[in-house]
Amino acid sequence: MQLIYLLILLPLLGVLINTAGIKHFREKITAIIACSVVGFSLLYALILFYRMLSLPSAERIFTSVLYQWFGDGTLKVNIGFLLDPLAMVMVLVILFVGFLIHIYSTQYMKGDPGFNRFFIFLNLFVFFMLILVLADNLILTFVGWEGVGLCSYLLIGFWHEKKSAADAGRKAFIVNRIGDAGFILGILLIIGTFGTVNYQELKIILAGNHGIVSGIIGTMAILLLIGAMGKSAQFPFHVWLPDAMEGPTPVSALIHAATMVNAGVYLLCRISPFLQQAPFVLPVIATVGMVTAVYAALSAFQQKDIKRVLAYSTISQIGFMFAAVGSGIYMAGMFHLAAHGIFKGLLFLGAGAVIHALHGEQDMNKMGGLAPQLPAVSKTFLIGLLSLSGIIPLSGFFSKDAILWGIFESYGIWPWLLGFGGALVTAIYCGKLYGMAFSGKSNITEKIHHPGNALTYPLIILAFFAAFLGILGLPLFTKMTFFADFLQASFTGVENIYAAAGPAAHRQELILMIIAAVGAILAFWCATVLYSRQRLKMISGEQAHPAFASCLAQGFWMDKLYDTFLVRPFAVLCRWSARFIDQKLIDGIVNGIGNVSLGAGSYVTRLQSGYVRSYFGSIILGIFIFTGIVIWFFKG
Amino acid sequence: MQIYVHLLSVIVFLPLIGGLIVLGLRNRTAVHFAALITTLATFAASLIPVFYFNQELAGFQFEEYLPWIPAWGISYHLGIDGLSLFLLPLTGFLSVLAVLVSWKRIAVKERAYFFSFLLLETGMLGVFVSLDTILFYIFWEAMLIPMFLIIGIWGSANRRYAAIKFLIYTMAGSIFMLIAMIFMAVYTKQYGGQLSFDITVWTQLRLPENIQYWLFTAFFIAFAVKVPIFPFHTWLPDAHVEAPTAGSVLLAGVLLKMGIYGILRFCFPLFPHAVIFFTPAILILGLIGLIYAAFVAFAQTDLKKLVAYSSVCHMALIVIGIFAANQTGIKGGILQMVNHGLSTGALFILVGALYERTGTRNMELMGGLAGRVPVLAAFFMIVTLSSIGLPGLNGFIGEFLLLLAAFKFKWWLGALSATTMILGAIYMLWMYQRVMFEKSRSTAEKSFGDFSIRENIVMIPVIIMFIFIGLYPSYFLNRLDKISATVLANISSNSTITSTIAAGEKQK
Repeated sequence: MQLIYLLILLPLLGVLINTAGIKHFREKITAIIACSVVGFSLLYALILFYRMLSLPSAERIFTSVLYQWFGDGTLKVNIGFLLDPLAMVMVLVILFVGFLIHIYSTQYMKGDPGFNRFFIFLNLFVFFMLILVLADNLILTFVGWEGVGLCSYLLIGFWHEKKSAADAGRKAFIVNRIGDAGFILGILLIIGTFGTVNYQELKIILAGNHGIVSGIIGTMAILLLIGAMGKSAQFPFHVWLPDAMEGPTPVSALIHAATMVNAGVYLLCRISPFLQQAPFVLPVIATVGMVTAVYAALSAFQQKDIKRVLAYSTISQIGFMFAAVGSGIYMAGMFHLAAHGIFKGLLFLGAGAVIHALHGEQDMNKMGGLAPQLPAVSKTFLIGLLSLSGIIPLSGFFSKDAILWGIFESYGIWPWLLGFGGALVTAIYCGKLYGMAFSGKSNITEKIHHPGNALTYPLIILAFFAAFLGILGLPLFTKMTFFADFLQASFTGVENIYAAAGPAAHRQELILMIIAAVGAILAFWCATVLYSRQRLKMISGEQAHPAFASCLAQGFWMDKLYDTFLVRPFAVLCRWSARFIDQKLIDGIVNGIGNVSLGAGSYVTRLQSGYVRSYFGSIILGIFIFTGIVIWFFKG
Repeated sequence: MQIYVHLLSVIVFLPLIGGLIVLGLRNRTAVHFAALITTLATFAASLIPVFYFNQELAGFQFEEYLPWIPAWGISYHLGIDGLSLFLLPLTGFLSVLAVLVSWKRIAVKERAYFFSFLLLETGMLGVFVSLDTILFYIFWEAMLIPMFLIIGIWGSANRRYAAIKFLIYTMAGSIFMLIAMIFMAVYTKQYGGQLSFDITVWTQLRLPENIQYWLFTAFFIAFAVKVPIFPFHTWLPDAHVEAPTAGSVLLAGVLLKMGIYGILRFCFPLFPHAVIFFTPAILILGLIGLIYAAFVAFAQTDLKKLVAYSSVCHMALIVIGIFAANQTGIKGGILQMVNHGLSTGALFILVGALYERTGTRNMELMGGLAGRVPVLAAFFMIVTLSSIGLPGLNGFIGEFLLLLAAFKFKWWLGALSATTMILGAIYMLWMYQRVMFEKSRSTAEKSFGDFSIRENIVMIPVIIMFIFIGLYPSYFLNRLDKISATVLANISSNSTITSTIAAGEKQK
């Protein structure tokens, strides 16, 4: 029995201590407490990871039940934890990236009046995120799921005096809640059908002879998918994520890139036994993923704000992860999740360092030539961008290549081309970003604010992993990479439904891989060169088609669409309900009846002037009348 | 069990005795302390049954029986079961809080205020323990008068209209109930051989269907007004807006629960046929209330009205859950009564605290308060989250069980009810943003402080209860096992409505 809950309790301890001292602690004390609880949690996770590695694959599942939370008939819901390789990957990403971001924030948030509050929320986020991934049942996962949504809400709206920040936080919470309603309905359907929400029990039931038609199981999967789409900002629920950039940059790195937004992918992997039994859901997931991946990549291309580029890029990359799940290659999806968590965390932190250096400037048009002035930031940032573009031999190459090949295997050449297109656009906007911000001539007039060690070291560590994590994606051309091998215990019985590749396919795989790799390098290189040397020409070229440019910049006008067809009509409906139906109609009838039934004239005036006596009078009169009826009945 | 023989009488009449003492006191501080000590003692006493409650037993416990008017079958009969078990300490707890929030806040006629208040508490407690319907009715009516006075005398500007509307509306409802009670007693004689007003006797009866229909209707109208079920809800926002903070706390926290309590105590066991017959209509009213009240809440500018309409939403979900008529729904409904009492009570306390500071309830004139009163804002956030059912806090478990109950009944009922998750978040967070975030929109800037120690003392126990129920609801649910079966016993014995979704789907 492993003390899994210790992982969770440590961040909670940080929350409690810092909350108790919110008014008294100096920044340093708060920061030390907040960082060390996450640090110790990470250490413990590494110990558990080591123990897990030393066990044979089939035994790599640790469970621990604290107590029965609540029950209903045969349904038992425990506060219980499940640490299997799938959860382990998530835990490591959360705590590793989380720890670095905590360190980074100690400098980034220095001097902010809400410093202590910030670290409480950050610890609270880690706490809920760990509950999400360690829960052994759907309902406890849902606790973490909503909890991270809450922290996201609080941290997006961290500077709540700004209306835009408060609006963005609320938008994130509400869009997530729409997804969560789907999640809850999925849970209800699962309870109604199987009578349990425990993952392992469900897996056993689903593997056995349960007699439930695949339509029902598919419905469950679709409902949970809606929840996953909300949390992971998949089209058409993605609209909250670009706005979420209102939050402080470390928050964007931790919550809106590395951890929380990936929860949807984790959930889909967790419910892989359901997907296995309802294969028609897989193409749905793949479609959602592909559409999102391409859509968001195109939108990212026309963003001016450096953080919004990364936000759309995150949406797009999670789309690739969904496409992986939809192609039945869960492990490749998880691998991309881990790699993306690291390089996107790196990119956001790098962007934060740039914004910090430029005194809050986020517009890429006003940047340029930063490379010589911020050497460490620009080098690590470049590694992040290359990895994101899928350039050989960085981690992003291995993870993305596995997904593209999976798409080809499952759905053929056309979807592969779409995915390849998405990857090319990714390389282009990455190149553009580097060209605009870091190379070329300097636009900066103000004195640059140089980042300190607490900002730089996390970047270097993350860059190291972004560069070399790809090793886990070896050996190439097999499904059993080191990474997948580790994950195997979580996916036993969930074989890829699509046929394994034969020798002929290997040749195809090699060709496609070369095309993708070369394409990405060329696209990245061209974009960098064009946007640094021919910058003005390129920008005026973009402006030659203003409608097209603004369409991309505004994410195909999705926000406007929602505003016109959902938000405004809703507000009108609400006002109409309140002013007309409630006040005029219902209350009008009530007051009307009141006035009529109480009789006419002076009696009413006397009543309404508030003489309590007359009420007592009528009550007593009433009681006499009814007593009379009773007595009358007696005689009868 | 001898020592507990008069426990319930003690609980019920302690506040009344305290109230009489208050009337005799001259000193202001003495009045406050007398009221506080009385409510604290009552709360402590109301916890005793919880600790000694035997969850394995069906039926009533801690019973007291004295013949009163034997010729008419009227008796002094008290007792509690799982249904009333937690409502007593809820009432006791909220009463303590209500005294604390009224502490030095009542400008005129303090003694009369605290007397009315304690009388109200006796009435509320009495309703929950009475097993004789005449006794029940006396307590029921006795509760209205002090509430009427609290709104009418110590309320705000438009208090008279609101107080009269409250009184007439609820009284009009209870007249139907009284008629039905008298007929019920007569039918008891006709079908059972003996005139009786005792609920335990009534539940033994099997009334013909046509009689059940109209008696159910009469009872249901009284309770529907109280809950309130759409479209009988319009008295509630008015009463809340005008009532002083303590009045709102008890109104939302306890008085609304009496509607649900009455439905579960009378309608379900006595008129099972009628319940099944009327279920579709009531569910539709519940659904309308659930969604419509959320719309109306969203459009409010008055903070207290918004909270009042959110109450209508929550109560509508409880109605849906219990009329789904399965054990999940009954348990969830009873638990959610406690949850709603705590979270909406706490919301009204916070709204009152804001009103004392800003002098307005108009959200258009607030804004930017999070920076000025951070502790209040933090409490407000937690209570808001409890109200929208954030998992880990109390509201979630109740809401989840109710949705599960609705879903088990008909999948579309669960699906439509789940919209409350979204709508609740929409109007509550919009409210929070307008009050706490952005910049101040107030025209007249006042200076005011954050939460005082007294206010912290009020809120901290509430938050502890939120977390306790959120993390260990089994404590409550285990004690509701028997009652949820008892309430449904008559219905399931002659019903065809219980079906699970799985069974339904298999038939296809």
